[in-house]
Amino acid sequence: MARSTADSTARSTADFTMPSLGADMEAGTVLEWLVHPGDPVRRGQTIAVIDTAKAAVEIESFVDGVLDDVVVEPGTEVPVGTVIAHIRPAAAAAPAPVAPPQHREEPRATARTAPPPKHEHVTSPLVRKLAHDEHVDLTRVHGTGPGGAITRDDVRQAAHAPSTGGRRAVSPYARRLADELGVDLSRLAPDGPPARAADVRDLARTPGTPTPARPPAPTTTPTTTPDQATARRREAVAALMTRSKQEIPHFYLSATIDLEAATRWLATVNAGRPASTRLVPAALLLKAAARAAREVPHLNGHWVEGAFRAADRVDLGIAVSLRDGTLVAPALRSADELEVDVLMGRLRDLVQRARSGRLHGDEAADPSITVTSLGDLGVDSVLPVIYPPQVAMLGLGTVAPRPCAVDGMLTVRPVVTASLAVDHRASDGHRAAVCLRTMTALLQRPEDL
Amino acid sequence: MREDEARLIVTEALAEVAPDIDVADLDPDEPFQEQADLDSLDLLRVLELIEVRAGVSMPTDGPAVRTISGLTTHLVGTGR
Repeated sequence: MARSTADSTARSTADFTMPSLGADMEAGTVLEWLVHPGDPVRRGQTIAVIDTAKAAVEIESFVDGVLDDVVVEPGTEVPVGTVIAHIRPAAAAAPAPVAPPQHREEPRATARTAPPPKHEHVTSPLVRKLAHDEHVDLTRVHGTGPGGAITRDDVRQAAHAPSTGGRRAVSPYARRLADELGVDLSRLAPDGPPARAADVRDLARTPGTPTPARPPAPTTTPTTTPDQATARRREAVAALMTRSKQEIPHFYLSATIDLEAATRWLATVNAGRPASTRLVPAALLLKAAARAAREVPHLNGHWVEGAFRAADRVDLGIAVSLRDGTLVAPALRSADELEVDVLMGRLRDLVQRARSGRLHGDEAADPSITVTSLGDLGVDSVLPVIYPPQVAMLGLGTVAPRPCAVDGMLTVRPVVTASLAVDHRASDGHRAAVCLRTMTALLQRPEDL
Repeated sequence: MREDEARLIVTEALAEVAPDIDVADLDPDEPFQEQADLDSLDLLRVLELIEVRAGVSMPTDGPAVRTISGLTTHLVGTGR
C-alpha cells in the first residue's frame, strides 16, 4: 500500500504509521522527513522517505492538513504499523474520521523523467516537472507560496535568474554526484556557467578546505553508507529468493517469438524521433506481457494464505539491476492499460529512479507479476525465480536474428525467447501456455499494442 | 564541431549515465555498451544527453552509436 494508514478517533490528529510496502516488509527506517512540524501537507504529497531494505521509497500523506509532530526521527527503524508522525487534518476544528484508504492512488497523469530533487519546501508534481524542464534546482528556489511552497512562477523566475546570491548554479546531477563524492560545492568558483559533473569531479580530485560560504548543513544526515545499503538489498533478495525456492513449486515453459513485425514497426516509429522519445524493444515486449497477463488472470495475482487471489490490475514488476550488483523490482502500475509511448516513458523514469534510489510508495508495493529482461547481455533465455507472493514471472532473452522456418522456407528473423516460471499451486501448464501464445499473437500486431 | 569538444560531450554523457566507471579506461574503438555494462535504456539516455548538448540528431543504430570514436566522429561531422 502506498500510503500509511490513518487512525483518527476523538482526537484532532491522525496517526501516520510506518506503511507496509510489500508482503515481506516487517519494518522500515525513516531516512528523511521532507516536511517539518507546522508545515501544511496535501493529500498525496510526498512527506517522507522510508528505507525498506529493498529500496528507498517516498511515502505520501493520506490527508490534507498540517504536520503536527514527528514521532520517529531519521535513522530509526520501526515495525510496520508504528506511529511515525501525527497529522492534523485540515478540518480538525470539526474532526471527521479519516478513513484508511481502501485503494491505492490513481496513476499519475504524467511520467516524470528525472528523480525528484530533495527539497525543503512543498512542491507539486507540476512544479517539479517545470523545474526539471527548466533545469532548475528546487533546493535553490525560494518559495513564495503558502507555507513556503514553491510556485511555478518561482521556478520560472529562478530559471531566468543569472545566478543565485553569488553562488554558482549547479546541475541537479552534479549536485547528486557532489553528495555521493562528499564534495563541498561552495568550493566552486562563484562565477561561470552552471557547474557540471566534470567540475565536481575536478573538485573531488583536489582536496580543499571548506570556505565560510559553505551552505548550511542539511537537517538530516545519511544513516546508511552505500555499502550497507548494498548489503541490505542483497540480504532482502537472498531471503526472498530462498523463500521462493523453498515454498513455490515452480514449473517452466518457453516460446520463441518471431519479432519481424515488431522490429520493423519499431524502426519505422523510431526513425526521425529524437533519442528522448524513441522506443526500445523491451517497451513492446512489456506491453505484450502485461496484456497477456490480463487475459490469463490466473497468472496475475498473489498466493496468500493457501489460496490464489487474482489481482484486479496488472502491476507489472520490472526487475532492475542496480550498478552495485543488486536488484530491485518496482512496479509499472496498470501496465496493460498504458499506451506504448507512455509505458516507455514510465519505464525510463522508473528505472532511472530505481537506480538513483528513490521510488514512490506505490511502485515499491507488490507487483502482480514480474518480468526480467536480460536481453542486453546476449543471453538466449532466462528461467526466473518467482517473487513471492506472486505466482508467475516472465524471463526475456536477447532479441537477435536467428534462422527459422517461415512458410516452409529457411529464413532469418529477429526472435526472442520468452520463458515463464509459474507457481504450480496456482496454475497449470495449459494456462501458462495460453499466456505465452497470447503474448506471441499480440507481438505480431505491434501497431495494436 | 572540434574533435576535443565532441569527445568531451561524449565522455561526459557516458560518465553521467555510468558514474561508477572511469570513462578514460574505456577502449574508444570497442563497443562501450558492453564495456560500461549499459542496457538499452542507458544507451538511449547517453544518446539523449549528446543530442541535447550537441544539438544534433543521433542515428538509432549502427557503428556511429556503438563506440566512443563513432559517436565522436558523428558529432565532428554533423555537430554545430
